[in-house]
Amino acid sequence: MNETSEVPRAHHDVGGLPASDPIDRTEHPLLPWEVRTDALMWTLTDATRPGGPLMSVDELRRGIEALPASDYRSLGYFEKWLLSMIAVMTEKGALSKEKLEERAAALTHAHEDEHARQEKHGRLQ
Amino acid sequence: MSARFAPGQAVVVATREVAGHVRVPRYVRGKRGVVERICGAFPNPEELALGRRDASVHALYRVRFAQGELWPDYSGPAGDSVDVELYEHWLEGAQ
Repeated sequence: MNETSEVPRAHHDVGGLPASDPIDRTEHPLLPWEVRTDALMWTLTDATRPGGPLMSVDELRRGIEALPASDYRSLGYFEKWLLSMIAVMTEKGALSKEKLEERAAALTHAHEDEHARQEKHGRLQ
Repeated sequence: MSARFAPGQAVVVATREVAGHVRVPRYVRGKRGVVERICGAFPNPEELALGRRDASVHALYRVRFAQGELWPDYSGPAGDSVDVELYEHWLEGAQ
């Protein structure tokens, strides 16, 4: 009864495989962007939203499992969430690569402006 | 929603391959376990993962596997087991 050996193993399905390193159990306080990512997922899956939730946790899992193996192994928990949410919402047409890049550029500029203002302010004191 | 298997009944997990999100770890595929309890009936996560809102509903079971069944070289106590929650469409009756 060993037909399973012919089924390719999905890279996330690691139960029973030998681990190269012990599991790192160190906890760290959540960073603001991680808390926001969690909040965004709650918003997207909100069952009370008129018209129903925009996505499901099962779709989140599919998106995470569809990440390239190297990303799956190296990225952090909420990084995987974010990439999956982007992929799923892009798939649904609610998001586009262009819109995302546009928004990211705007936020980067706003951040740089803020940083420059603080520097200037600091020098004046 | 009627459940095909009852607690105490032996089942074997299907070995088929399904693309996408599947909540059946590879290490239980093709393995024999015993229904520990019926957890209820829930929409199929494989369909939910594709964004379907009309997903079919399946009975969900908690299936108990002997560690020795899952890992041929298991050296712990003979009574050790692991429970995995599996949907009915992944299970077949066994002796």
